[in-house]
Amino acid sequence: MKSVDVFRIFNSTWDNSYPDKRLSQLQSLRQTLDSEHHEFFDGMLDAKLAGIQDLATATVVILIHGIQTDGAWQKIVEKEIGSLPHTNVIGLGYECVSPLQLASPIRRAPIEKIKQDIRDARAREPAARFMVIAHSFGSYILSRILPSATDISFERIILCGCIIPTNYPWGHYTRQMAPKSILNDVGTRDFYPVMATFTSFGYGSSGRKGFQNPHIKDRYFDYGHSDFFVPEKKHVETYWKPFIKQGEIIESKWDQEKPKTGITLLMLCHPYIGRTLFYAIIISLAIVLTLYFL
Amino acid sequence: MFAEKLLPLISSFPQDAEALRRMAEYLGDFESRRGPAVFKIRLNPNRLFDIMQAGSTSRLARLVSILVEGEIIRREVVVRFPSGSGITFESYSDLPFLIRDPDRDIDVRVTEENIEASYILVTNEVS
Amino acid sequence: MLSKEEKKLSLVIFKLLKETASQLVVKNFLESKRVPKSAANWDELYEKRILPALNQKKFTVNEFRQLLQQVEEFGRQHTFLFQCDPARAIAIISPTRIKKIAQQEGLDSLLTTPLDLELPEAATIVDIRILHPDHNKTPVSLTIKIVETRITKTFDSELIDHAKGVITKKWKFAKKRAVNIATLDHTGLLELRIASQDNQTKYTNLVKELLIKIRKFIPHDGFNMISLNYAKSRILTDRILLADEIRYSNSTARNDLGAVMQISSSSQEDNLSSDDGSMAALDSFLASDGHVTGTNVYVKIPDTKPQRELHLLISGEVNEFAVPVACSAGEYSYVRGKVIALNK
Repeated sequence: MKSVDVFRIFNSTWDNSYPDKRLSQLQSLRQTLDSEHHEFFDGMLDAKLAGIQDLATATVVILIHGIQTDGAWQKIVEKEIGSLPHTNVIGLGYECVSPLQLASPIRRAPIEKIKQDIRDARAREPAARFMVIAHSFGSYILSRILPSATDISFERIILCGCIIPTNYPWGHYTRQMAPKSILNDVGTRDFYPVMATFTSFGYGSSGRKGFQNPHIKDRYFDYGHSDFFVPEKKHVETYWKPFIKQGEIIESKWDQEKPKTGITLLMLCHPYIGRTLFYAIIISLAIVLTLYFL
Repeated sequence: MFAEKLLPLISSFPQDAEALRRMAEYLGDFESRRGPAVFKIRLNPNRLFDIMQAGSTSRLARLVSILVEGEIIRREVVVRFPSGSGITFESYSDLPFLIRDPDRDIDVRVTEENIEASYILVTNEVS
Repeated sequence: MLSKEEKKLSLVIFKLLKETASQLVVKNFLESKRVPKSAANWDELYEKRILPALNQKKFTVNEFRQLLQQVEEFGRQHTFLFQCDPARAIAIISPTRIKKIAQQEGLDSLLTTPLDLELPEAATIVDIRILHPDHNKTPVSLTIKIVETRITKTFDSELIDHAKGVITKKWKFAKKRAVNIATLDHTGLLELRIASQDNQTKYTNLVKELLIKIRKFIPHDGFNMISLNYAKSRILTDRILLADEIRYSNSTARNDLGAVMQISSSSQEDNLSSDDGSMAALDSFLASDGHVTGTNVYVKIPDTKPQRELHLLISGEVNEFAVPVACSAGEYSYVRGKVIALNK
């Protein structure tokens, strides 16, 4: 049994019992639970008896990390964003995904896991405002969840190192979101989104080029793939905290200073041109090597 | 300082670190102002909710369970009388059906209306 | 002459007034309409004063109903305050939207004519009012009135069976009408006014039920509770400044050591703030990690002779205050304004 199940069953018993029988019914229910849940159960009872109610201003910020990482950056974000009042930061994890898995079409397991984790978080805090920060493969996971899980929605979204295709139909899946609620922080030295685009299928270079889409605010930084989490850069404090707190978008100076994107990179970012070139080179190399060794 | 007892919990529960840090700051501030009176602290769930900025009942329950299992606080269940005084019990299962109000010297039914949780600090002293 | 339906309606309204108001309130209304008001009892008041006046069109059944609204919609209630973004509030109270939802729910007739229900089986929406004085501007507010039946128990008798060692107690129960109001104004202030309960201090379930009942018209997303903790403290800390406006009766405070302080005047008529010793004790308690958890005062209504005071309780939930006595709409509005002003 998960704690969210304990939460559900507690609330159901509370709501469906007569007040004078409630305590005894809850005590009976408690006996049926594993001891690991007893303290949480008692804490719920404490809160209910004290008349505490979930705040509509409470915020839950979901963090979804990328591949080959356990999301160590999440601790940095937890510290900064968690300092906001009544804000719960939940770092979601999944089994480590290797680059091979990333390149393959087998990506379902992490998506399903994260989807369920978000649902559980929502069940535990139904009144809270939900927001998400997704990095790299985490952004891809988010892009797969939004179309299939219509019960999952966010008030604000932050993407970084994003590998979602640039033609992703944001307008379809984020209709309920207010304008300027989705930020895409782009690292102009980030090659991973480009590589993901031309080496595989289903990914895009939005983390390098931006979406350039009216639903998304692209912001450009002189960063590599994970420079958003380098403590010295204070990116979380400067650019994400105000956005989470009050929707304030702090502009990046690099937007005006960034160099023009070269033609080679633009070609590599193109899903058909880049992929064709890449696989043409691979196949050519394979042929050359085969002939050489024959 | 008592607040240092929370440091291991802050490391072990990164997701709740900020809320636990707020609790540590509150205790540290209290102890620096009022010294040993910190060991007499008795907080109710509403106060903990405000101090730790829990935001929701489920999060408060989770934070309380971390603090109780971490032996920072201990729960007592208080039956509160109209005079403001109360009688404490160790757990909800210890609550009787009827209780004697010591200030008015009458029997009072124990109901949801007069029960509240109360948290005291776990100290090494034998009380 | 009144039609049969109008006469029937006037009788329903009268019966409801009889349960809610005093004869004085009704007589004052008659006086304002220049109708003779002397009567030996309620029945005589209706038969000899009200019904003839209605027949002679000294006032209409609608105006009579408005008197009932004034009486039963204000006072003897616990109020819970919430706040949303003004833009959201304006969108919610849009007349087009409200009319559409009312039609979908089969309640569109309530937009023009309220339902006069005495004791409905279940909580029922009986009135939907949009205050929109200037159609060139946004509406001012949306009010939804819900009537429910509550059961009250009174102890009747006790039978002692000595042989079996059993005491059997009997309670009688009676049904009582309760009126709850939800009002959302264009500034985003949502006020839930719930009729006072007889023997329960907690209103959490009633608030929840009311929010569920109105949720199609006023969805609760985006509303935050307005904490009145600051007002509770300010009533105490600014008591000298507020001496001409508020008479102080009692306070409850709690500190972080679990100590509870309750300090009261000897009777509800006295003014505790004139007792320096009590006030010094409370100030000292609050200075040492204490905070006010409840306050019980009397708000002086201006321009009233003799000075009228309205009982105000700020305790219970963090966003709750109560006016536990009957009052007029104007008096309630003054007190609510005072609470909100003190909370800033």
